Amino acid sequence: MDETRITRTIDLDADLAEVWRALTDPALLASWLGDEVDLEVRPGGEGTVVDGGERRRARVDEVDPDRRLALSWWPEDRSGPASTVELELEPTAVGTRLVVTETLAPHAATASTGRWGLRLLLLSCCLAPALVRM
Amino acid sequence: MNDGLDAVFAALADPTRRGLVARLVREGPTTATDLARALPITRQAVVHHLQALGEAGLVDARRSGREVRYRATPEPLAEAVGWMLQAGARWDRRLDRLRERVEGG
Repeated sequence: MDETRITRTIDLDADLAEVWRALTDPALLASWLGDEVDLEVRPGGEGTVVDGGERRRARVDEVDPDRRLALSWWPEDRSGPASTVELELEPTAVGTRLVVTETLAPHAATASTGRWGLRLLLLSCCLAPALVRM
Repeated sequence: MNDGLDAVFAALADPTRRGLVARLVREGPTTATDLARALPITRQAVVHHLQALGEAGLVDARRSGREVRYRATPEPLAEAVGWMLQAGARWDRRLDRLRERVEGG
């Protein structure tokens, strides 16, 4: 299934425990995840994330220490789509790799199919090359 | 892979089909006859291309009286593109801040 999702991979010059702490310690998490973050990182924990002027409710779905954190979030006023976020860590020779995947919740898509990811990529390439280069 | 992906690849790999989608987006619902007028191919060939685009979900056909008008159906794509651009840009900013945080000492 080709869903609407984005992925980012970064290699950090920091050890796994330190990066995990940045994902789970409330004060550290608040320093990067958004402008205002109030989220309890434990399975089922809920909170609020304000970022880019948007206020969202968030829920922690999965906590696998030093490996994986999964959460769902949606606009507090429900005017926009919900999505899921997976943050996965793995040690590298020099530090830690973080892979972030955010996936638009299936019910949030207005389309009749879930194949938009590839379609939009292809359509963007032929109709709006400037857009995909942004 | 699945049939849907194959259909999208097949539909948009052809420059004539890309041109048809672009025209429908720019000009709105249009008949195959009008589309063919600007092209060095027959109306039947245009219809064939439009059918391929229709199977890929990029175009739909509506009958009005005796004519059939073809319309681009890019709204879900536009929404998805918008979401991806915004979500991607936000993660780029967040990950910049995270890097500063954990590497900055």
